[in-house]
Amino acid sequence: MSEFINENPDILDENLLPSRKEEEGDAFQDEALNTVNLLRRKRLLKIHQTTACKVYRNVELIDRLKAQEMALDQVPDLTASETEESDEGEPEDPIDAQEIYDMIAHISDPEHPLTLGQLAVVNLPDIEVSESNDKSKISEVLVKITPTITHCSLATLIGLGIRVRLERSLPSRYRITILLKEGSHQSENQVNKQLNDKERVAAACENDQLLGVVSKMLSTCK
Amino acid sequence: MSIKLLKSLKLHKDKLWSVDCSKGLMATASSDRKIKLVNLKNLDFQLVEELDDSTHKKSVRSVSFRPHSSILAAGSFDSTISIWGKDEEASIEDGYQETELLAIIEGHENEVKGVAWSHSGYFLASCSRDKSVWIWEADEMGEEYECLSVLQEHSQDVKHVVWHPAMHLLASSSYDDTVRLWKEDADDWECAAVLNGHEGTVWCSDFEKSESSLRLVSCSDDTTVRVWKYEEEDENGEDIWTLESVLPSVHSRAVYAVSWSPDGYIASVGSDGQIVIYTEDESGKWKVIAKQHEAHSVFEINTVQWTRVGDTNLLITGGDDGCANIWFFIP
Amino acid sequence: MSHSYSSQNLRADVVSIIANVESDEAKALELSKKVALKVSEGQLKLVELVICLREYITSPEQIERQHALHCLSTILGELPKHTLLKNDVSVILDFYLGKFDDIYCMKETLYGLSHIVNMKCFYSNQVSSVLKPLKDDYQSTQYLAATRYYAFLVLQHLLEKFRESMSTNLPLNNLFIETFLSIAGGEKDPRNLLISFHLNSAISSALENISQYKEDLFDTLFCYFPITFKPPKNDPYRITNIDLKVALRSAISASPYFEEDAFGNLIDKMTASSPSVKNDTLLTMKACIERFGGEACIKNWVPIWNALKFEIMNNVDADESVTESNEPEFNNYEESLRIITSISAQLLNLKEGAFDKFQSHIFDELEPNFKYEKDLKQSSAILAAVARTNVTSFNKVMDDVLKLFFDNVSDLDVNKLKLLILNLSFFFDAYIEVFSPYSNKAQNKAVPDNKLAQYKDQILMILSKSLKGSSKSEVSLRTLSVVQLTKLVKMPGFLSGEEVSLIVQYLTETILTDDNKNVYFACLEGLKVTSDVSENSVVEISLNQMLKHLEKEGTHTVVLGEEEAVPVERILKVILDFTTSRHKLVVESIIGISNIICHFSKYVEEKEYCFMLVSCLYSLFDNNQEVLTNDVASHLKKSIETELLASSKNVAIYSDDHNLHLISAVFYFLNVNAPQANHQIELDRFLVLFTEDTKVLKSPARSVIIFAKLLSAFDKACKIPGGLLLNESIRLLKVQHEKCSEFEKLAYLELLAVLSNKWCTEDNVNANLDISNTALIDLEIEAWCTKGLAMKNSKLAETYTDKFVKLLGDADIGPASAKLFGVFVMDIPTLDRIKGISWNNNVRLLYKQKLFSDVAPKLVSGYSATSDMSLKANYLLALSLLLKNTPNKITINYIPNLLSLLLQAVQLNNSDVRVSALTTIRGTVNQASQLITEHIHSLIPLLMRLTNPDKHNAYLVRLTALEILRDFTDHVPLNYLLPYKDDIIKGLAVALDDKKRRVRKTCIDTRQAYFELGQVPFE
Repeated sequence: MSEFINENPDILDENLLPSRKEEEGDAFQDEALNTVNLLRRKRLLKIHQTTACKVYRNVELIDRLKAQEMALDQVPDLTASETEESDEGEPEDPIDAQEIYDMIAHISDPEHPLTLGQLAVVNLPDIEVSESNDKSKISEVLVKITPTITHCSLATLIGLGIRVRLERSLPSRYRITILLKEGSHQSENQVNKQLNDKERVAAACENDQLLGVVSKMLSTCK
Repeated sequence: MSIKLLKSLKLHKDKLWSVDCSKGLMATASSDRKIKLVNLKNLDFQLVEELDDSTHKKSVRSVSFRPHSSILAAGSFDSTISIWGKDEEASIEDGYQETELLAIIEGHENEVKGVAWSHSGYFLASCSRDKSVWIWEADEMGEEYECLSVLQEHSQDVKHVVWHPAMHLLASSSYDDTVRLWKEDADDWECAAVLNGHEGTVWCSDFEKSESSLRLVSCSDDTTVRVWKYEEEDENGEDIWTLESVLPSVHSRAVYAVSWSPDGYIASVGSDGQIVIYTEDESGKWKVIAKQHEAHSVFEINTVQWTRVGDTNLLITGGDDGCANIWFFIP
Repeated sequence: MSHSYSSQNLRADVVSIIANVESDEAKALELSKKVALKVSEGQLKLVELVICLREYITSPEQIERQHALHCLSTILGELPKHTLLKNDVSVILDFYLGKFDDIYCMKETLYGLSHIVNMKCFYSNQVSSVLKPLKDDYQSTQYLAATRYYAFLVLQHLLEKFRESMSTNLPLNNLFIETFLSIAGGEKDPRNLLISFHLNSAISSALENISQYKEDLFDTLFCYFPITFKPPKNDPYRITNIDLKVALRSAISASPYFEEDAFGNLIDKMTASSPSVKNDTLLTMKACIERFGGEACIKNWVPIWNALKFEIMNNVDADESVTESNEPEFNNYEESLRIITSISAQLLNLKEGAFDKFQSHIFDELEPNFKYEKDLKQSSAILAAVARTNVTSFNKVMDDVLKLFFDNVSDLDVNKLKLLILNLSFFFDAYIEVFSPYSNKAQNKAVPDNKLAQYKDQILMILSKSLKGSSKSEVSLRTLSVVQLTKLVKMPGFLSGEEVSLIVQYLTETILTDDNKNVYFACLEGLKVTSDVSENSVVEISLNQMLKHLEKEGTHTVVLGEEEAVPVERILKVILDFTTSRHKLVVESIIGISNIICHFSKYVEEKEYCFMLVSCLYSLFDNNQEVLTNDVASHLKKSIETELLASSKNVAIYSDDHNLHLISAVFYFLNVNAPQANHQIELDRFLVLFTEDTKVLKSPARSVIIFAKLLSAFDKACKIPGGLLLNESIRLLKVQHEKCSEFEKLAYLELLAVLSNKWCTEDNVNANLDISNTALIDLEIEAWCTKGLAMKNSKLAETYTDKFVKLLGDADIGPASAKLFGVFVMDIPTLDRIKGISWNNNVRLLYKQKLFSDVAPKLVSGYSATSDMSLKANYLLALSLLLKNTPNKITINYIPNLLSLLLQAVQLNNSDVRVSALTTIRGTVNQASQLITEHIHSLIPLLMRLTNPDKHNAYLVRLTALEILRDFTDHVPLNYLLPYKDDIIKGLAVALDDKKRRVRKTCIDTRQAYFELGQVPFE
């Protein structure tokens, strides 16, 4: 029973952290899907929770066979070498705050065996994404972090970990700004200045020992 | 008036930090620890040489050519400065000869962030995260270096150093939000002035190329570009510099580099991926005459340099995409 | 001297025994047996044997002496115990005792003695003559383990044989003990220790005058404590660490005489830091307590209690240690509590007064903790440990504790409430331990009234308050209270029927309205547990309530008592989750939902609602096969089949592909599980219904799908005109296929597969097909018939697959026939095998194996035969469709030949082909990476390209390509992969901007794997 109970109020229960509802979208990947079927697949998932069940296989098979049956006499050109941009049919999942959160919430704190999410160092409401829908334009991400204590000596290291994780995880069109939450730290300004100095960050990433610590922090990311 | 992309050279696998041009040759420095030389003569843009990349153990941050020679200085995050050159006698015509490593200068405690040769070629200045600016005296061959002075007035990293095109006057930009000017006094170097005003790291500065007036342009994390003017020397020998103007604000993020062209244009680039060119219509009044968005697609731009090849003015920029872009500017 | 066995014979045997002692033991033994037999048959006198051996036994060569003596000893061992008479024994005994001075032969000597003492005519008055030399002339330290072993063996035999006479003869008794002590000292060999421990405990528990020797006996034991031993490889005696630990433990706890020494020393050992030592100590202590009895406990419980208290209180995060890391083989926290329980048990057996002292002492020490709320968890655990001993102790403890808990239960804040419930839970567990004997219905003794019962109402009040009264965000509190409510249900005789129903009501409302996972699963568990205790209450309250919701109106969300909207999906999910394999619940839900379907199927606008209901109904069958016995099936058939069959004609079902398909599957389940005896009758009934009444084989009818499913359900042994049906269906398809919808067409094709699999001979099928036909419809018909045949490994199938392979080379119909390769191996539920049912169809386990191994090579050769890329494409498509439905473990063996095709296939402009090729490659990477390693230089660039947006890089293509790249980091040797590290990291930057979140996610993980590739882990 102990796993249900968390006698230390400062630590959030892993499975209470903000998370995206079941990624339904993932399940439906065959072309044979019209909107009605899509709705039904979603319903099935709600009821059965998994696409691995027989009934889902059944429904999938019916749709697939029908599609195949319709396409049977068409002769597609399988070999032409031209490639086109992916068809617009595929709906786009925009990068949002939750996605950023998922990237960094599982980074583990350098001194506790806990994640930044559990320690509420990173919080969903403190993440802003300004997404310019045109991928040839620059977009911005702002993350405000809250160190566990206002004199936390590791604030910079934690910030660095977050920046490295984001720089590795986000497309290059993103400009990343990482700030300490107002009033959350004694030397707020110094830390902020360091975290957002690209030259210093670049140098830090060439320091093997530091990089070692960081990749240890990142090793818990999922 | 417009900026036209003449050529985009994908030279490096990682950030391109710095470019410098001399005698029709362009040198580039990058996080991929490589230094590359590109021929600009008659807009050929061929890669002519790639310097031995085992020399530096970390990013090469800054490159600078010694005037009237083919000697090149490169500062690296590995805290050393490398000096490169080739036999002056033989000229390009009779075959190209390898550039060789002439010297490695050690002294800085950690990352070297800027190197610059004086117009005379006597002095080499370098700056580092260790908060100091060093002034070296070099021999004719560029093989012997003697440290003349270690200037430690900056309270934080020194990001960039630049010499006046005609005087032995040095400007250093720093993480402490100031620019400091240094000049030779008797046989020592001293701080001639401190330029306060920027509200963030000063990334870079450049002198006006003119005999008539003495001015400096600086750019900063605070997204502004500022022009400073020398007024006079006060009774106790201190130079007095004043902020002449803050250029029209165009950049939305940190401005990483500025360059002042011989014919009076100022170009600035930065994190927002823009190239901005300003001109002075009446003294002290600047306006924007050209802008280029996504000049390195979605990447940040780290450096900008005016240069003259034959009788064409070129603008060269370098960005995180590892490219050196060469622009044609029609006034 | 008897003739049959001359002295020559004897000499010969003896010589050869001696010769073989070392070289060939078996031979030596066999001969010894032979000689022994002669002796026992009286053909040979022992004396003769000894005489015959004399010269060797007295030989100056010690080897000869040893062998000779070994020979004699072995023969003695082979003699039946009664053979030697008094004289022989005493002669031979004296002879052996005489050998004691020959230290080189000590092993053989003791070996012999160990046999002699077992002789019938070896008497108690001779025992001391053996013991004395052992005690005085034998220096155990001089000899090897093997020798020392026999010394122990001698003692063991003596003790087994003369236990009584020793205990009546004190000098002998003492002599024996002293002898043991002298030979046992300083022993190190595991085998000898084992026997020594056994002897020790036998002595201390069976012999007299132990008190005089107890220290020595105990020391010869405890000097080994805690014993650990790593068995060497190929240890002939197979002695384990546990054997020794247990032997030592039971020896230490063997006799109450050890009491002071044992407890004293063990308590010291409690301070050990090593958990394993501590564990051994605790287990031994427990053994001692249980063996030494109450008196001993009275003397010692104070120091023991203090030691245990320290252990328990300082046990960091109490029981988490277990739940978290799955194999901390020692749970010393639990062991310590167990000991407390055994102490109270011992004291109670002795006299209640003793127990009361113990209990009140503990209680007084712990009481303050409850005031100051420190170490509450541990304190409650300890008291619960005392309580769980038996009814008496339980009530005594409850008397003290419950007051503490329920003094001020008003206005508790959430954390206090949590604590209270958490602490109570320990006593619920104790209750279950104490009263479970009363639970089994067999002899339903009423549970004796108990103190906890008096607080039942308060407990229920608190738990229900913290469940119903708390906000949904109080997950841990709500979960906790659900878990405890469930526990109450488990507590025998604690709750009344009404109270159980009330809890079921709570759980039902919660599970339907609370979105949190923990709470949901806690409730689910609760309902399951309850349905074990009283399934009816769950059916009547939970299930019926949910069914009522479903009956309300259609797809629109229904409303619960407290005005909370519950989506239908949720209700159905719960029904599926909590019915699992619970007989009554399953049956009731099936019937309930079927009725609701019958009702709503009439309204066209309820298609979606019906879809949800039907899919749920399907899963109720599918999930609960083991419940669907013959009787259940026929019961269900009776109660729902007719109605369902009727409503399958209703618009919301009949006109909807999914609904009709799924409901026909329900008929399949109903009949496949029905008693085989009735199959023929049922089958005939349906034949009439479909072929004569509704005439599905005359003109296209959607309901043929039901017919097909039914046919697949019945016993294949049933009689039906297979050939005819096949012929009619084929004709219908040929003539009327334009009129058919895709759905109908497929239904008829499925029917063909079933018929040709179950009810047609190869000739039937052949007769109805014309291999020369190449019209599309003919190909389809053949493909599906071939499927039915292939599944039973019919030879004929091969003929047709060959035809299809040939057609791939044909520009016009090549593409179509390529697509049909999917049909052969595609799994269609209609021909699934159901566990435990063998008679409904002819699906051979390995048919895919056979088909693949037959077709794949032909595809390869066909592929390489043509140079026309568009034809090559046909072979690749066909191959990919086979791969897609053939398990990796089958295809893996063919990979070496297929790899080049796969590399081509992933470049075809067809996402499906790319996906199935990639999937195969991925399987190979994970199961036989060595096949891939050599190709990564060509694979990596390909895969990189497949991660980019492109018309034919569908979601799954991009995803799988990324996954393969990631899997490389686990399976491809570093030196192969490192050169690509940087390019891969750079190249994957594109996919970081993919349209699909999951692709981006996978890309991030993959890049992360490469960032860490070859990086020295930092500690």
